[in-house]
Amino acid sequence: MISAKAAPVSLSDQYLEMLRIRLFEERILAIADQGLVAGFLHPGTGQEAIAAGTLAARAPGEWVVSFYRCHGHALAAGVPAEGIAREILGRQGGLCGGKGGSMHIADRAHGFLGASSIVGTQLAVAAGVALAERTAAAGRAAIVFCGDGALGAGVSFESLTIAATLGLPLLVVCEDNGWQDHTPSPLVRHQAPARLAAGLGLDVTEADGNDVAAVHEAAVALLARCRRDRVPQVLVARTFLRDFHAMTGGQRPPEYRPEAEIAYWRERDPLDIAAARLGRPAAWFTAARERVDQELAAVFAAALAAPLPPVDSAATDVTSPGATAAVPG
Amino acid sequence: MFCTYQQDDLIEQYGTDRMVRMPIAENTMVGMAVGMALVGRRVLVSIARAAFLFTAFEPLVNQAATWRYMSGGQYSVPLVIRGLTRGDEHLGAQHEHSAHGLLRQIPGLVVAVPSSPNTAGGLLAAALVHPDPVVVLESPRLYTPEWQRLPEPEPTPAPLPFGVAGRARPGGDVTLVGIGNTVASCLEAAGQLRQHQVSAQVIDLRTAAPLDRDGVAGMIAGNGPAVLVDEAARDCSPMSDLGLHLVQAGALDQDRLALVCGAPVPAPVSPVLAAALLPQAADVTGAALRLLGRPDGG
Repeated sequence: MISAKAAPVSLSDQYLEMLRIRLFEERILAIADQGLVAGFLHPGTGQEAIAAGTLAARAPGEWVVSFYRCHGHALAAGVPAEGIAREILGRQGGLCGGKGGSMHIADRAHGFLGASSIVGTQLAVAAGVALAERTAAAGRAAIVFCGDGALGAGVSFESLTIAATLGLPLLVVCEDNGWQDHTPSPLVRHQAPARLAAGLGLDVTEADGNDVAAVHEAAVALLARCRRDRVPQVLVARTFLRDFHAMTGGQRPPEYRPEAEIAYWRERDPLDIAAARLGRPAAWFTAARERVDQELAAVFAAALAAPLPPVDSAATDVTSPGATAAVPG
Repeated sequence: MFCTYQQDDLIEQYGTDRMVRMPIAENTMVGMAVGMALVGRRVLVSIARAAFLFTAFEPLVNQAATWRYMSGGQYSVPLVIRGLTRGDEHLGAQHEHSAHGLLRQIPGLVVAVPSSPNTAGGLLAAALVHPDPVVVLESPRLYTPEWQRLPEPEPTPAPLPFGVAGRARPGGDVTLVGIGNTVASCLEAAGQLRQHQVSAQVIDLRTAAPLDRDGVAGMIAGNGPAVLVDEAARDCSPMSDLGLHLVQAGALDQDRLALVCGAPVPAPVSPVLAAALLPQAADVTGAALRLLGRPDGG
């Protein structure tokens, strides 16, 4: 049996990944403010540690499934920033030809299955991937991200139950930020996510979602368990959205969360926590930020200069090329 | 293959890795099937009944039928879903659906509606090598103890191409077009019309999507009037679309066309009430004779 194995990723590399996600999302937000992003934009600012820490434990060949807040997951999965930026901005060279946009980033070449933007549905898709991996018996797990709101949906309960019943090598990473769009989660559920999942009989681990080292340590252990024992694992990572749930039409939503809560989490910025762990001199961080910023500046300049998708591509890729063959073989 | 019911022979033949028994959770069954298909597996979901597809409508519409497009062509979803429609079972409104009219509105989804055992074999065979999602809607009449007495216009269960209508019976005076259960009704009507010295051609659409508009127009042009017959109500029947095309393509004048469709009413359990809501062979025969200017069959 081939054993999937992740090459260890250093804390500094995980920090750099988080920094890249943060700066990428900030640039996207600035461009969105100008009305240049079509549709919904769900920034992942504040939740970078979960993406970076989890996916640093991912082994080669393992599929990643996401949802509408997918940019950070995609970047941390190795999906090129150029392709993501162009897709969000609807320019040629976008990963999905302008058809997916911000909420549906997909990159087959890097094992990023895509993002299903209907809440919870990504769990079923990922469970299917995990079933394929279980039967392939190559020692691979599948990784899926969701928010805490996803655990209110029926499909999530079905998926978790089936994953447990069939013994699927699935890691469910729940980004528990305490909000479901503009609704505070405790208002609409009677049990916290970890308790809900444990109540279904799943193995649940809780971690500080803003401490990339804690997330990573948990992900390493849980993915090893998935691969070796074929028992699904749920990682509930407590975190907070620095900005907001979503914006559209160039309009940021007015703040809908209590100032005390925002202030509490401002003190727990995942970049600051990782920086403190690294303990490097300030110059190192300044240089890193400049380097990443320069890289992204080039990415976005090129993206904004790129042409729009050709109109004659609007109706392509509905079906596969072989689909119109007259008689099957 | 995913299913919710016992399939011991298949488990014995293929093992539990390939023959996966699921809880009654059609929504997640189809979502999981999408996930497996996305990573390169061929998945067959036996959803049991078309009615349960509505439990799974979200993953069918929002994932199976969109993932290829949303990804800009990076992925495909080779997924087949099969389920029973309606036919003499008397299960009532929540279990009996002629779903092909509704499903054909999902872009890219192939909706196959076999009319006979060989058509069922042929369309399923084609579905299992098709690169994109296919729903195969099977009539319960194909499974009755008397299935061998169903009219069988196809010579073999060889694979049938999608979007190609078949000629179930040749005839030169009038054309009867059916889909699924109504193909048998049309063949029965053709037999009745023969008593009136009327030679009726019967066409089997085979797939509600793709709809073989041009093929049917070619078979109808110069062949007299046409009666289009569907158990689905005209509000969502492919026959409404087909009728418009036949007139616009010049295959028929508008007064040479009749639609005989089911009533837009949920299915009642009472057999006599159900029969009153569905096209019967006599309705088709009557419509054909009226179009031929022979309402009394004289």
